[in-house]
Amino acid sequence: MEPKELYIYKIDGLEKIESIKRILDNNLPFPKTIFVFDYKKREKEIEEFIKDREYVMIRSDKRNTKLCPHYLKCPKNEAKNFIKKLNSEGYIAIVHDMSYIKNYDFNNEIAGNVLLLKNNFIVEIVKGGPVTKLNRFGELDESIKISRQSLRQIEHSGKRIIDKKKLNKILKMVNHLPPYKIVEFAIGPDWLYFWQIRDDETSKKLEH
Amino acid sequence: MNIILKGRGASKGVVKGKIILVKSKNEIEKMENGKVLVIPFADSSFASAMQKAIGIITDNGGVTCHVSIIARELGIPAVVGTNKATKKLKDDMEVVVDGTKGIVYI
Repeated sequence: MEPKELYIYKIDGLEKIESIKRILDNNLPFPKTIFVFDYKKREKEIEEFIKDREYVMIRSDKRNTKLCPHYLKCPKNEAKNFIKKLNSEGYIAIVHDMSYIKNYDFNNEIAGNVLLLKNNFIVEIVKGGPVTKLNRFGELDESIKISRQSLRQIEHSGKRIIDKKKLNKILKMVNHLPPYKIVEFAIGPDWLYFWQIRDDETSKKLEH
Repeated sequence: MNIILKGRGASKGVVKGKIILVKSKNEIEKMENGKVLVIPFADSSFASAMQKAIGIITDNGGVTCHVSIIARELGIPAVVGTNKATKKLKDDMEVVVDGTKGIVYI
């Protein structure tokens, strides 16, 4: 992540953007990203950001809105119009670089959530990204419960999708975080990014 | 009681009730208060139907999906990721949803 490409003007109450800020505050890897609050003011920077990219990933955020529109594989010639539309409807556009994904093919990706409980992790994984397939549509290939202290597996269901070394690397990177958070990640053959750290107070109810 | 489905316990609690099967967003209006909602996938666009439900069963999903978080917020027992709830369960069947163990009984 290059800080010069990150523009956060105001984040209060913007759940997704706040959760991205947590990724950066915790020094977790995050793809190059720009936040667009006002298309007119940012047009040149948007052009600069998209010009050498075939596709960008566009997500959005709005106060008190859970299901914000997105365009996960947006061709560069459609990006400006989509951002404009989002802004005109009151959404902040979150524009990510996605050139790290080989051939822009999500099939090489493993995406998932790490739910941090007090003593355990619950890791849920879907083969192929993005993680929204899991969050919104419930597509799930592997589920693992792991001890936070020993990183030993307690329960497992589904197919073995993720390599143990890669998983341990992810878990070690997030193990310092307090409980009742969901950390979204995606991993490819030669890259790893975190997408959000979200609060999940309801997960207290999953403690035994 | 016999086990009819196993999945993941996404929201704790046990409840007994009659099934209402909502296979797509177009059928959301079918939902009635006090029934056990059975849906194919964990899309939070079913949230309005979930608010009327006393229990939730889904084909897909895990404990970190939006639908599971909503179920916990609402305090409704939920079993997700059963793979075949919408095939095995029919309207008005009486079931027991055990959201703690992730089991549905008939």
